[in-house]
Amino acid sequence: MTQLTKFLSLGFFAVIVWVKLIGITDPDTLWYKCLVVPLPFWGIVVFGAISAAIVLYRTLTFNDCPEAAKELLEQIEEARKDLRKRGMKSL
Amino acid sequence: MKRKIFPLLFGSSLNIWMKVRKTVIDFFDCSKFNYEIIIIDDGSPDGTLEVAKELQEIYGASKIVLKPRASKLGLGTAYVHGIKHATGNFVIIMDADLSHHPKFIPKFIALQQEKKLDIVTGTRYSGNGGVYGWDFYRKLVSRGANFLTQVLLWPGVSDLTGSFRLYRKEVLEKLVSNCVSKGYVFQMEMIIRARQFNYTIGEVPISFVDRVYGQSKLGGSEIVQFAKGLLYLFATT
Repeated sequence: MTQLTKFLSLGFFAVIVWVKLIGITDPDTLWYKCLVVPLPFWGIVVFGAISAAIVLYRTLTFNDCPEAAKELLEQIEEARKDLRKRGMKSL
Repeated sequence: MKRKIFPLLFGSSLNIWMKVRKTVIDFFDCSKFNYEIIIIDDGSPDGTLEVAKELQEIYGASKIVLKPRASKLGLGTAYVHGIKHATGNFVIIMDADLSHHPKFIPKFIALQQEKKLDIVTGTRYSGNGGVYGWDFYRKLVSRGANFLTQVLLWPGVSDLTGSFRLYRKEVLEKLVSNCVSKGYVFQMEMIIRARQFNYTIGEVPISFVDRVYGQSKLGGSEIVQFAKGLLYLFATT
């Protein structure tokens, strides 16, 4: 089963649940009009908001590793010296 | 146990030697592993081959194996070319522009041995992993693309586009022959196919130091290529 078919079956299942939910909710309530009928829309909004929050949080907490860069530059210099000593010309 | 290293060279020649030196001196020469470093150069105009030849003279042709190719032929075929000449039973692939530090290699090997894994992959996204030299925009794109990949593909691996990895040789051979994508997507496809074949995968956090030599590109066309590749994998795997 490909990811696409997994998503399609999940979506299909969600639609069935939604239709069922519409069927059992009283059409005269505010719930019905504002939440149950536009449920897919709210689902997308909530998913989008959570995703945006996660991505933003991960972006801001992305490790910067300045010490790794410093270490590397030092080692490059050290290696350069060592290899010159060993007779490397193209440095 | 025989392990083989072959760094693939992208761009910057200045620095095979650094990789080689740190790998050889700091780790392999005082370790129990047999190794060879296979350098694949697709005719870079920056003198990579000359530097590599000098290194070969210094360290010996049994340690440094040069396998140049006439022209740019792509990542997949570079892997095939490298595997053909690797005599050990494990292969480590790394970029030789110094964004991948050899100090992580012992961790890759330790994890592989401990859990008898088929693949160990470096991750910038978890644990102490990270990047250097990326601005907010670059990080945002990277995190966004990674999030989307996680949502769509459920790969079970936190970094799919990195290319610092250890493979069992026969696993690498099988994966390369089953992957059709190019660029970033090639690395993703390797992991996704590995999942399909039920290979075991472990992760080691790595720090990725970008832009010490050269600059990594990330333009609109890279993003489009990535999106296409992601959808292709989404629909077919």
